[in-house]
Amino acid sequence: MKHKYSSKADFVRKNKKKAQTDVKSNPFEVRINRQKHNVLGKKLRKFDKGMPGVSRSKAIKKRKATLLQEYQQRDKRNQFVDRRLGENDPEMTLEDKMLQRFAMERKTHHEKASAFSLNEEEELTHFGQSLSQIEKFEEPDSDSDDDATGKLSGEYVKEAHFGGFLTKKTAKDNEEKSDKPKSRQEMIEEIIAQSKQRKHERQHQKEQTDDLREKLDQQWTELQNHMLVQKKSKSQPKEEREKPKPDDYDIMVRELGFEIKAKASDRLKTEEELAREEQERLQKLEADRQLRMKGLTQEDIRQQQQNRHVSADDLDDGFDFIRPERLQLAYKDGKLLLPEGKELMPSTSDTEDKPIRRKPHSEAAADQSEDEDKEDQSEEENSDQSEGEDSDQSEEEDDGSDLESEKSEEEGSEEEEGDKDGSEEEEEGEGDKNDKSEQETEVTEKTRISEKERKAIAEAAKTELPYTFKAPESLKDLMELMEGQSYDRQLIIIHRIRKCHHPSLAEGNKKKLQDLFSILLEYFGKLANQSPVAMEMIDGLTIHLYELAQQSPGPAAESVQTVLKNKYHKFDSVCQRKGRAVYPAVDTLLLLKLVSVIFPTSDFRHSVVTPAMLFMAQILTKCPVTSGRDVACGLFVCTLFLQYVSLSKRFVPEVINYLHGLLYLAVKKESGKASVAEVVPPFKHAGAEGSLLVLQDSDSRSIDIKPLALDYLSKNPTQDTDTDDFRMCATHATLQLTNKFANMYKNLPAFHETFSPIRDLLSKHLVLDACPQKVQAARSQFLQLMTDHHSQATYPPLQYEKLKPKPLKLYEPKFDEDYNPERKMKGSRKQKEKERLQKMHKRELKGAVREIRKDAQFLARQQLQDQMDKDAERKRKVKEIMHHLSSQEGECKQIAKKKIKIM
Amino acid sequence: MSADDAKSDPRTVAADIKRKAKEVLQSREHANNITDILETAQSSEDVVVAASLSALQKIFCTLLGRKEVYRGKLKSSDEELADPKQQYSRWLGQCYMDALDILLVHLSTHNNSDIKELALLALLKLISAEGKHPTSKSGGDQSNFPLRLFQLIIDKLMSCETDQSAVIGRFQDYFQYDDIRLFTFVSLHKNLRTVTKEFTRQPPDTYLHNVHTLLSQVQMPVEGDQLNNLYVSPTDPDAECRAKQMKEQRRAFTNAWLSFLKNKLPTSLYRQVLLTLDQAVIPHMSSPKLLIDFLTQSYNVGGAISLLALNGLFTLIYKHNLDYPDFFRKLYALFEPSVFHVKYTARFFHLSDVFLTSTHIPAYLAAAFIKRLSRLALSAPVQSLQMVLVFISNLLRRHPNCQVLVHRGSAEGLGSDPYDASEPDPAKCKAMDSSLWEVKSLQAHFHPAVSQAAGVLGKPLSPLEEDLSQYLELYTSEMFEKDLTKPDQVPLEFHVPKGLFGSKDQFLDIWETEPPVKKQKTVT
Repeated sequence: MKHKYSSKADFVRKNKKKAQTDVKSNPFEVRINRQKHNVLGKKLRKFDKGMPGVSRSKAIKKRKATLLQEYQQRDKRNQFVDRRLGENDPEMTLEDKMLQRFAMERKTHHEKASAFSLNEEEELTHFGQSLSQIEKFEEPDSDSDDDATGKLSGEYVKEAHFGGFLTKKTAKDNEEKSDKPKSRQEMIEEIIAQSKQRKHERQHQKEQTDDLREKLDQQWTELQNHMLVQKKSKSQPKEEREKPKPDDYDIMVRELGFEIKAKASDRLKTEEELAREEQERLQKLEADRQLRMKGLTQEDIRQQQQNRHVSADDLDDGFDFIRPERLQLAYKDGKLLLPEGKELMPSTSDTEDKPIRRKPHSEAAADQSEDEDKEDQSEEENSDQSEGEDSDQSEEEDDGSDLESEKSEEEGSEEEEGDKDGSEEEEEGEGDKNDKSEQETEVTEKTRISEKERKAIAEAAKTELPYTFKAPESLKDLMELMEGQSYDRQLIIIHRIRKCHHPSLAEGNKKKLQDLFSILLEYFGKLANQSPVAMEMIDGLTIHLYELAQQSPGPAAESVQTVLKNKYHKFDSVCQRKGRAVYPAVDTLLLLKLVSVIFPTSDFRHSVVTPAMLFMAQILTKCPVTSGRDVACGLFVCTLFLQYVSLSKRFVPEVINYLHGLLYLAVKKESGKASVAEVVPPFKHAGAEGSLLVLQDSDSRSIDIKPLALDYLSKNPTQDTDTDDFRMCATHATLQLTNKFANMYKNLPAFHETFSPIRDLLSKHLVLDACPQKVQAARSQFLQLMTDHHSQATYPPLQYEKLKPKPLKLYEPKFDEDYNPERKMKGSRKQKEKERLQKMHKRELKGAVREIRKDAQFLARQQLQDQMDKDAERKRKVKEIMHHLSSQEGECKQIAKKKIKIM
Repeated sequence: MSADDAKSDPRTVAADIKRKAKEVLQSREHANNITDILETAQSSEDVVVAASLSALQKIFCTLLGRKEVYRGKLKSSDEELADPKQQYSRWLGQCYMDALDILLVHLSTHNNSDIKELALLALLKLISAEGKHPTSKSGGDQSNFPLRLFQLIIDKLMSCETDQSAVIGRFQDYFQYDDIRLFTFVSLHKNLRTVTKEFTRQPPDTYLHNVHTLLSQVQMPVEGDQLNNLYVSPTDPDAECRAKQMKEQRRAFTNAWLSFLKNKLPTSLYRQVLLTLDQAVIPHMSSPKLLIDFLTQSYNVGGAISLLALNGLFTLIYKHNLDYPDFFRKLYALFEPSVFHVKYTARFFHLSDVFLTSTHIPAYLAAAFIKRLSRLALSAPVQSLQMVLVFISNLLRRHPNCQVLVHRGSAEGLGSDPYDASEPDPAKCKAMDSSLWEVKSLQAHFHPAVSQAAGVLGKPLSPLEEDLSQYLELYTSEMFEKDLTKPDQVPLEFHVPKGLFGSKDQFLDIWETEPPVKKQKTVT
C-alpha cells in the first residue's frame, strides 16, 4: 500500500515535470519578494522568487493524486492492485514497458507451445511473412566462408543487385551467352563452384608461404650456429689481421677519447633494485655452490655448455645457469656429435682451432683452458656488470673491463694476462663471499683439477653455508638452521635470510621478516639465559633486530609488547600470589635493555617503553633482596633506568629508594640499637639479609674495584658473590649510580628532600673509612654535591602557571579579519557536524509540519466540498420530489375540480 | 549381644535401636533398653551413634513430658527408702544424666561434625522439653529456661581444642529466638570470664576464633523490634522476662564483647574484629564508650591495626560524641613511607579521606597532611602516586586556604623548606609556610599518567572534586595493560647500535659490558 502510494506520487511528480517544461512561465504568476535594501547587480536567489499560484495548484494536484485517493479508500477492504508489467515502476518508459510485456508474452507462448513443437527453431516472421522464405532472396554467397575482402565481387554486384538492372543487359547479350536465361538453381551452383575455387587457391598460397618460412628458419639456425662458434673461438686474430697497425697518434687519440671525463654515471639504484640484485647474486652463488657440492667444476659445466643447443631466442647472457646435465643428442652428417675434446668438433670451428693444434698437446690444452678461463672471467664480469654489485664496485669493474678489452684489442694476449692479474687483485677487495668464489675459480685456473682436489672442493662446499635460506616459521626452524654453527656463521645466516626475503622481492616477504623479528627475539631470550652470556652474538642479534624493527616498526613493537607482556604476567602472578616476587632471569633484563636500543626512551608516552619502565619499577619495589645476585639484578635495573631517563631526566622514586636500601645493606648494624634509618620495602630493617653488603674484613683498602660482570645476573653465576670483592664492587656501583642520578636530578625542586635519606645514611652511618680510595671518592663526591646544592638552593614559592590574561570586554564590534560568509564558524569537525545535523533536523521538521498542516487543510476542504455536494444533491432531490408532489397535487385538484364540475 | 550386632552390620543395629526406643516408650517393661542405647551411643560407628542419639532424644523428650524423670539431687541414702515408682524415676534421672553427659561429650569432641550437630540439636530439643516441664529449681527467673544445661552446651561449644565453626553455623539458626540469644551472651560472658582467668588473658587461638565466630553470627535486633519470639515459653506468657527487654539484650551483648576483647587476640583476628567493629558491634552496644580502652590500646599496636583502630575511634567521635583530641595527630603519625607497601593501603587512604572529608578541620591541619603526603610521594611507588596526587588535590579543593601551598603571591625565595618533617605535631610543623616542591618534582615523573596528575596541581584547580575511589585499588598490572596500547605509529630509535651495550652507554663504567680483551683498558 505504502509502496503504491509513493510510486503514485512519483508518477504524478514525473508527469508534472513534463508539463512544467512545456508551460512557459507566465509573468503574471511570478511573484518576487520585496527586498529590504536593493543591491545593484545582486542576483535573485532561489527563495526570492516564486510562482505561488503554480506551486499551489501543483500541490493540490499532487494531493488529489495521492492523499485524496487514500482518503477515499480509507474504509475499503478491497483494493485494486495493478499487476501489469512495469506499471508500478515509474522509471520505465512506455517503450520499455511494451517491450517487456511482449517478451513476457512470447515467453509464455513459447513455454506452452514448445512442449509439442518438433522444430527447435520457431518461425520468425516479418510483416507476417516467414523470414525463412524471404531468406532465399538474400545474398546468395552468404554461405561462403570468411573472405579476405569480405565484399562481393563487382561482377556479381552488377548482376545480382537491384534485380540486375544496373548492367542493363540487353536481350541480345543474353541470347549470345545462353539460349535461355539461367534458372535459379543453376545460378546458385555456379556461384558455389566459383567460391570453392577461390578457397582452394587461397589455401595453396598459404602453404607456399609456410614452406618458405620454414626454409628461412632452417637457414637462420645454421647461420646462428656458425656465428656462435665464431664468437666463442678466437675471432680477434682475424680482426687483427684485417686492421692496419695503429700508430702512436691513433693510440693517443683513442686514449684521450677514453680518458674519464665527467662521465655520465649510472642512475643510483633504488633499494628494491639493490635488494633484487643482492638476492640474484646470492641465488647465483647458491647455484654455484650446489654445483660444486656435487663435485662439478666450472670447466665441466662449460664443456657441457658448449655443446648445448642454442636457441634463436637465446641472448647468451648466461642467465640460464641451471643447465640440463644430459647431453643434447645431435647428428651431423649422419654421425653422432660427441662432447668437445673427445673426437669430433663442429666443422665450423676448424679454422680457428688450427693454430692451437700446432702446439704440443699438453701446452695447447693448458692454453685452451687459460683462454677459456679468461673468457669465463670476462663473462663473469659481464654478468656482474649486468647484475651490479654495490654501485661503486661495479663501476670500478666496468672501467677495468672496458680498458682491458680495449687493450686486448690493440696489444697482444700476453699483456692481457698481466692486466687480468691486476683486475683479479682489484677484485680481491670485495666481500668475503665473493672472495671465496673467486678464490675457487682461481683454484680452477691454476691447474687441471685432479680427482682428489675435486673431492676436496666438494667437501668444502658442503661445509660452506648455503646462500639462500627459507624464512624460518618458528624458533625450532631457526634452531635447525643454526645447529652446530658458530656465532659468526649464525649471524651470516640471519643476514642472508634477511637479504633473501627483502620486502620488495615478493608479496609475503614483509610478513616473513616480521615473523623473523619475533623469532629472533625468542632466540635472543634463549641466548641471554645461557650461563656465560654470548655477548658478541647478542650484539650481532641486536643489530639485526634493530634493522628489522626499522623496516616494520608497528609489528616489531607488537612482538616486543607480547614478549614483555608474557614476562610481566609471569612476574605479576607470582607477585599477586605471594606479595613479593623474585628477580626475573637475565633474558628479561637484557630484553629491557634491548627495548632501549630499539625504541626511543625519552618519549613522553610510548607503547613499548612506558610498560617496560613500569615493569622495571615493579621489579625494584616487589623483589626482596636476599642474595648477591639480587643486588646485581637490582643494580642492573637501576642502571637501565639511568639509561632510560638519561635524556628526558624523568624522576624515578623507586630507584632512589632502591639505592638507599642498598646502601643501608652496607651499613654495619649494631644489634640492640634502634634502626639507623627508615627503609622502604622491599628492604627490611631486620633479618639475615639486612647486612648483605657489610664487609667481612676490617680493612679492605686493597680491593681492586672492577665494573660488575654481567655474569652476576645469571641464576648460577660462575663468580662467587659472597666475597668482599663483590660487596665492595656493588657498593661502589651503587655510589656511582647515586652520583649519576643526583647529577641528573640536580634541577628538581625537591632534590634535597629526595636525596636527604641517602645523605643522612652516608654522612652518619656509612663512613667507609676502610675502603679503597675510589669508593671514598664517590662518597665524598656525593656529599659535596649535596652540600653545594644545599648552600645554593633557593626555594621559590610555587605559583600557578601564568595564564594568558583575559582581555577586557570592549564595546567596539569584534571584527573578524578574514571573514567569509560562505565558511562556517570555527569549531571542531564533530561540533560542525552536530550543528549541521541539527539544522537539517530543524528544517525537515518544519517542512514536515507544514506538509501535515496543508494536508489537513486539503482534507478539510475536501470534506466540506463533499458535504456541500451531498447537501446540494439532497436539496435537488427534495426539490424534485416536492415538484413531483405538487404536480400530483395539482392534478388531483384538477380532477377534483372536474368532478365537482361534473357533479 | 550388642557387641555381636555391632560386628554384624551397623544398619541393622540402628534399626534395632529404633525398635528398642519404641518399646521403651510403649511400656516400662523395656526400660532396661535405655542402658543398651546408652552403651551403643558410645560406639565408634557413626550410623549407630546417630541412631542412638536420636533415640535418646526421643525417649527423654517423651519421658520428660510424662514427668517420669526425677530431676532433683540424687542422694544415695534415699535409694532404699523410696517406693518402686520413685525408685524407677530416680533411676530414670540417673539415666538422663548419663545421656546428657554422652551428648555433651559428643558435642565437644566427636570427629564427625554431623554427629556434633546431631548432638547439639538433641540437646536443644531436650532444653525445650525441660523448659516445657520445669521443676521449681531449674530456671533462675520466671522464664523456665534451663540455664544450667545451656551453660554446659555453650561451654562445650567454646572448645579450646577444636574448631567448632561448623556446629556454630548450625547454632546460628536458633539466634532468632530472643531467649536463646540473650542466654548465649550471658553464658558466653560467664564462660569467657572463667577461661580468661584460667589462661591469664591469653587463651588459645582456637578458643578465640570459636568465640568470635559465635559473636559475629549473632544478629542483634534493631531498636523497636518486638521481642517475643521465645524458644522456651514461660508459664505466664504475658509476664515480663529478661529475654523480652532490649536493654537486657544489649547489656548481655556488651558484656560478652567486652570480656572477649579483654583477651589478647591474634593479629588476623584482631584485624577482622576491628574491621567489623564499627558496623556490627558499636551500634548495638549499651554504651560504646566502653570500647575506648580497647581502641586506644589497638592504636598503639602500630601498622594496619592502628589505622583500623582509628576507624573505630572515628565512629565513636563522629556518632557518639566522644572527645578525643589527639585523633588527627595520631592519624598524622600514621603517614609514613611504608604505608604504600602494606596490604591495607587502599583502605588506609579511603579511611583517611573519610576522616579528612570535613571542611571544618583547620587549614593548618589540612596543610600539614598535604605536605606530609607530598613528602611521602617522593618515595612512593608508581601505582600509588596517582591516588596520592588526587588525594592532595581534593584536600586543596576542600581547603582553599591551603592553596598557598601551590600558589603564593610573593615570589621570594627561601633558603630551605620551612616544613619540619620530624615534628609529630601537625600544628607546629609549619606546613602553611611551605610549598609543594615535591609535587612540582613529580611533574617530571617517568610515568605519563602520574606526571599529568601532578600537572593538574600546577594550574588553578577546578572546583569539582575528583573521585578517589578509582585510584584506590589501582594495580600496576592494570596500568601496564593500559599502557600497552596498540601501536599504530611507533617511533624508533635513530641511533644505529653497535651492539646491545653501546659505547656511549650509561652502563659503561658500572657494568663490564665489553668483551674480555678490552676489559683491561677500562680497569686501568
